[in-house]
Amino acid sequence: MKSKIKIDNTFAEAFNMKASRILVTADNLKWAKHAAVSLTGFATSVIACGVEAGIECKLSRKTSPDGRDGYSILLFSMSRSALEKQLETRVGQCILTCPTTAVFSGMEGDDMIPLGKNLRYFGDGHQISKKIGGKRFWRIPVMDGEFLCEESTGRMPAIGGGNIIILSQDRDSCLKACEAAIESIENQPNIITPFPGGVVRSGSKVGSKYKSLIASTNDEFCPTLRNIVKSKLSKNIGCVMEIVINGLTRNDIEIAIRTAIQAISKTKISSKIDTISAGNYGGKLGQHKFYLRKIIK
Amino acid sequence: MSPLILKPKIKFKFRLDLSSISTFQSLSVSRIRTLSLMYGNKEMRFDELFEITGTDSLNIVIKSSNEMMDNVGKNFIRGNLTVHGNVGHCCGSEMTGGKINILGNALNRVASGISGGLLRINGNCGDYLCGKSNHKNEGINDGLVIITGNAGDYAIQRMRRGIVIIKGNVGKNSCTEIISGTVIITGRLGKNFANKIKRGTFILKDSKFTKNYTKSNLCEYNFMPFLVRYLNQLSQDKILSLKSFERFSSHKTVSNLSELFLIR
Repeated sequence: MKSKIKIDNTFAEAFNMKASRILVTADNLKWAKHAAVSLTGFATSVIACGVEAGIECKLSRKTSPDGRDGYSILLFSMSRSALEKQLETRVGQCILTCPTTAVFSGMEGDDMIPLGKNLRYFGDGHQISKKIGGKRFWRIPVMDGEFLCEESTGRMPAIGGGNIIILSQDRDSCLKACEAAIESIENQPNIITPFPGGVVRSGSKVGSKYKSLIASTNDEFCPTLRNIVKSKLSKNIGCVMEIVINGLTRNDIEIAIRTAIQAISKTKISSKIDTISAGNYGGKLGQHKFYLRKIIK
Repeated sequence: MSPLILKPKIKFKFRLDLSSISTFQSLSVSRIRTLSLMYGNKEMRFDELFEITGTDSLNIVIKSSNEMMDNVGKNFIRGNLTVHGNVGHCCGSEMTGGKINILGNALNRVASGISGGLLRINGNCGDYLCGKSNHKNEGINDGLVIITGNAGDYAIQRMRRGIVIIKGNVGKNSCTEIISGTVIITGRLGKNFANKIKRGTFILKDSKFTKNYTKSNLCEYNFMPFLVRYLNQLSQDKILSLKSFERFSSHKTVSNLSELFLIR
């Protein structure tokens, strides 16, 4: 890479997670987006949200199961039970309630988790089961007609917590670099960036001086604490932001990290970007290590 | 690999049980040639009755077929079977998977006891379409059956689930005692249609069956475009067009949970 941006000789530490994919469709893209945004709301980190979720891609009328506009959504969680619970709750509160929507499984496999299996009881006995192409669907009568949902969706092992940390001279350039990175990977299949706009400004470390907290601010990367704690920042760093990437496979995350770094190095403000680093916990917690320098080779 | 092609060497005078075709997938071509068949009161080898060419036993083609060939595709599990010509009784009965395409007519008991796969008859079929198999009290249990012509009497009795599409007319006493499933008929209905049913979805063009039902309010049904799209993709032609539908439900005299979509 010809860019002057320094790539830290470090690695991003990521964790084993469980992932599932659902497809949400509606009469038009506007309502499909309302449903998708609602379902993926408050799903940034498993620390407090229970699940990490995001829109994977837009579905065209040709690719969606019912020929309508829609979105593909990926959900990641630390355990099967948490994923099941979150999926059911979110589909029940965000998709079922959203006008004109329908929800389908986006993942096949031996390990299936309930999607509409229990939601069907909302039909109060008027729900109709249909088995089509070996899959069971539920038609639940609702006030705008009927809500169609597939009974279950697939679940697979995945990886969460792949990341890059962008160290910049000022906030404006840091944000623009992040935006360029997110834009470059937003259409990549099998990954999501669960945080708002794909970017985190409050990266965390494990533990806290307060016993009740399991995570607290990543002080090593806080510009305001450079002279107070053992900082990883040099004098000229004024802003640090992180992009967290969850993916279905290791390869998906590696591609996303590479694409994002390449996109940052091509931006006009790349001269203001000092370093690209990655977050880790010393390699003791996560099962996966993504070495930045190896990835961009 | 070229498809395995069977072509009769003689004009059959006696009925032939071809249920062993469904076992071809697990056999070598040399073994298929030596398989025995009863022809009249004689036991004969397959290659004595059929000219066999090709090697791909997952893609079987029967040429110059006629209605003396019974049990074609019986217990079919996987792969493709294409038949050029008519077939006899029990075509595709008890099949559980794969695709059977008949380019001709079929006699009685087509797809009886079917529980998976796709069976398409590009022609007419006889009585007892998708009926009960010998040892069961249920008819079609799953799968997709498409009849592009007419179906005879007593069609689709005691259907449990699956989808049956008849593009022509159906005879009398059809769809009786249906437990559930989806039936699409774009032709005329015979007498005593859908008697003693429990549940199920009927998509019909003939409006005479609607008189026993209450018309539902006009609204959008998310299920219909999904079903139409699925069927058109699977059948690889426009088996159903996405027209508007009128829904009828709640039978006026008998308590059942069936529903009816009338194609407008």
